[in-house]
Amino acid sequence: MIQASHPKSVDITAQQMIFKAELDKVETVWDRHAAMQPQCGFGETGLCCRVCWKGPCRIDPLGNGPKVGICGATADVIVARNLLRSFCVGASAHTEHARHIAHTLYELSQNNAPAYSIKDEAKLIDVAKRLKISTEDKEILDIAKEVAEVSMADFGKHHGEFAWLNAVLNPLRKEKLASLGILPHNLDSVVVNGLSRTHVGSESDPMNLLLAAARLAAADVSVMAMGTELSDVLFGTPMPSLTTANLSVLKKDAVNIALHGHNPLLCEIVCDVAATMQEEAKKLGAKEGINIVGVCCTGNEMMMRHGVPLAANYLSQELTMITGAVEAMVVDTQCIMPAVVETASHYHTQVISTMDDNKIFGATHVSFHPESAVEGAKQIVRLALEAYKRRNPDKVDIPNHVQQAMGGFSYEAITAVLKKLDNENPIKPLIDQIAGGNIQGVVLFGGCSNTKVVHDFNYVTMSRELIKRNVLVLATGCAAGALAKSGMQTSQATLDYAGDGLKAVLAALGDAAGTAGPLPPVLNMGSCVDNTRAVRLANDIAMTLGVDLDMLPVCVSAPELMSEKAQIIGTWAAVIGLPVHIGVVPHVTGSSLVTKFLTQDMEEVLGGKFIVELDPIEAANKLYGEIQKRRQKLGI
Amino acid sequence: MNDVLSNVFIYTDPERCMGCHSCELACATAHSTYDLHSAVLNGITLLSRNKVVKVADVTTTSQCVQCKAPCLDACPFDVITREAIGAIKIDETNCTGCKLCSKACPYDCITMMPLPLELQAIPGSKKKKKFVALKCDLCFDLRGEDGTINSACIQACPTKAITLTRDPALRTKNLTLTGYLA
Repeated sequence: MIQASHPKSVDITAQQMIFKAELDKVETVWDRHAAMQPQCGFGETGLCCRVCWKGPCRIDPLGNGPKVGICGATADVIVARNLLRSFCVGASAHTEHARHIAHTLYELSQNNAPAYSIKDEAKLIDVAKRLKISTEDKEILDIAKEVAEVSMADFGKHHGEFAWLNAVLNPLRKEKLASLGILPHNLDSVVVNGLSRTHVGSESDPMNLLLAAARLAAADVSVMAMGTELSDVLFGTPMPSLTTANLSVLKKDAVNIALHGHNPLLCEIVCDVAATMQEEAKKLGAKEGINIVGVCCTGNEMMMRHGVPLAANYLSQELTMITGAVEAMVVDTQCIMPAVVETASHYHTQVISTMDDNKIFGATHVSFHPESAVEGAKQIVRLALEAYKRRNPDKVDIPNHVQQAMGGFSYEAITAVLKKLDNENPIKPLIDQIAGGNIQGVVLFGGCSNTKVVHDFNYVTMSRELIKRNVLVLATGCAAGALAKSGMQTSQATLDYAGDGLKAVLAALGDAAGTAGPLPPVLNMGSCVDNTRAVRLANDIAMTLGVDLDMLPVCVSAPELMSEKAQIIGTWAAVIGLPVHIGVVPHVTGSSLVTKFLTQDMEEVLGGKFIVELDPIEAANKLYGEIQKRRQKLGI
Repeated sequence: MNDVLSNVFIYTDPERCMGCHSCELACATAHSTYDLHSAVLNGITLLSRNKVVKVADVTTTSQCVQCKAPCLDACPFDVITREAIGAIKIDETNCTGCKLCSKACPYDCITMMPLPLELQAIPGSKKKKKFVALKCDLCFDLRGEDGTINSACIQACPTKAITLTRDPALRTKNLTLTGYLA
């Protein structure tokens, strides 16, 4: 089928840079997507098995060719196995992220991480309480040590309390998972166990492989909470702040440093150090000094905590450099296209990798460690200053479409606003508004951007459609980036798009919070690891009502997902009882069993399920339908 | 355009073919109202009109070569027609499944398939039947408004091994490779 040509992105600044890339003869992710067409149908359907070297084997989905692999694995087994492997990779990315943060907290408690400090003591106490650690008459650093130790013990624990799981899961859900025999007991072995089951000649019961995925998902939601909450302890819990988002945040008269990846450990220190080196930049002629901008989730982390402007989400990462104005693209881990090095080579941009276990071929490596963080950050900023001297002004073209955005809606920030309405029982006003129908329900947008979807289009279209129907929208990760860049995180968006009921609620909350207008209709909750902020809020509602999440008019949508992390996030959302829409066909259609389980049968067992719908308007309709179904169940 | 001696047909270059079967998937979905995902959910078996075959140590595709069409002469119900560019097309809705065309085909390019669910549902077909004849029709029904042929397999081939051609030498080469010509 010939596809009608369409714009590649709905981010206006990205469109301009895509055009500039053509003029500059620089390849972008969209060019590579086009060159890759058509993509293999066996990969698409999940029916390609490369597990052992008797293979590769392919099952013929049309039924004329082989029905089983050389070992006898059926389509169902191959698809389930491939899926579980992907989930294991996604979960391990979150696990390593959280381990890194927990380890840093521990080093800090031992006075081995001089660049770091406990920025939010109240949060540390709150975390300690939820991990059942007593805090009476203890020094802050001692509490930090205990929190870090309890957290690190969760990775390999074989007996006893799984502290973070208990802190995160609704007790009713915990019971349900236990009754199904899929309650994990730690974070590390659940991944290893999942992988071991996919070895040649191991498990060939597709249903049990899917249950392993559900068990993994329960561990993943726990480890993500650890990553987020401990980051808040170290760097401060986000509070609402105004900033800007899209490629116009780069400045012609500044040394621009783009921080890209997922881990707040590095970018926080680079921000601190850059603030002390402004004069050096000005000496080089950069009148506005050093300008730090964010890309992907490192960008979200900084936007949430410090109001650092966000330049790009996943699909527009290369375009930051195509402006010709980025001195350094500093990367840590996850979602960094290997292509950034090639893109940078057309300009003066210095790509700097920072993690010893995440080297980027062709980049300059500055080895970053908690104990010598300041030195590393200084070296990074110096490399950027050096690069500035090489900038070619003829190649600089920065879009000037400035877009305001409000970020920083952590669980604590939302609770603080609600407390102004009801100090005793802050969750009550929210429940009242949902019960009364001013808020019909809540949809959390998460996930990535994907060349199979017009960049940001599904996010913008779906959120507007849902807001119009009085659905409150939360967003994280590249979804949050897309909705920040498209102006959906402003008071104006509430006035322009929200239904009357939602508008009234957001206006009242805006008054309570003291913002200049209503709160935005899309509340930015942070990076993709921060999805558990929304889970905590939803669990507050559920536990107040004495129900589980499978009763609440709350849905999740990942309309442009791609990464394995997003896949496992979507899976845990379904496993904790929520309908999860995905806007990209998953690689499972080669198995009717797996497809049916994920999109239908799962609902009976766990209350959550996947809804695959490529059309954004139809997807919004379906989610609204799910919300109404649940409202009826609650009798509201 | 009645010159059927130089019919257009599909040729797959065995040097370029990777045997990945993407063309089969594309063919099957192009001849169906379902896509892969909805077909799975609705229990529909998709059927391709081409087939990836391995000959000697190369792979290529095997499908109707749009020849002078003994199948067309054999069909007692006149549901096989010769279209503008010489594409031979079976009206699958009205095919009775009598198998005469597949017996007449010198190249074994017509497959008799148990009637798929999709066709069972269509009312007004000529008679109750158990089978339907399927073969490559160059995706004639998917041609562009300007008459261009957009065969799904050609679009789907990741190595651009599949082409639409009129070159009789390639027809000979193809038939020789698949063992029909000495």
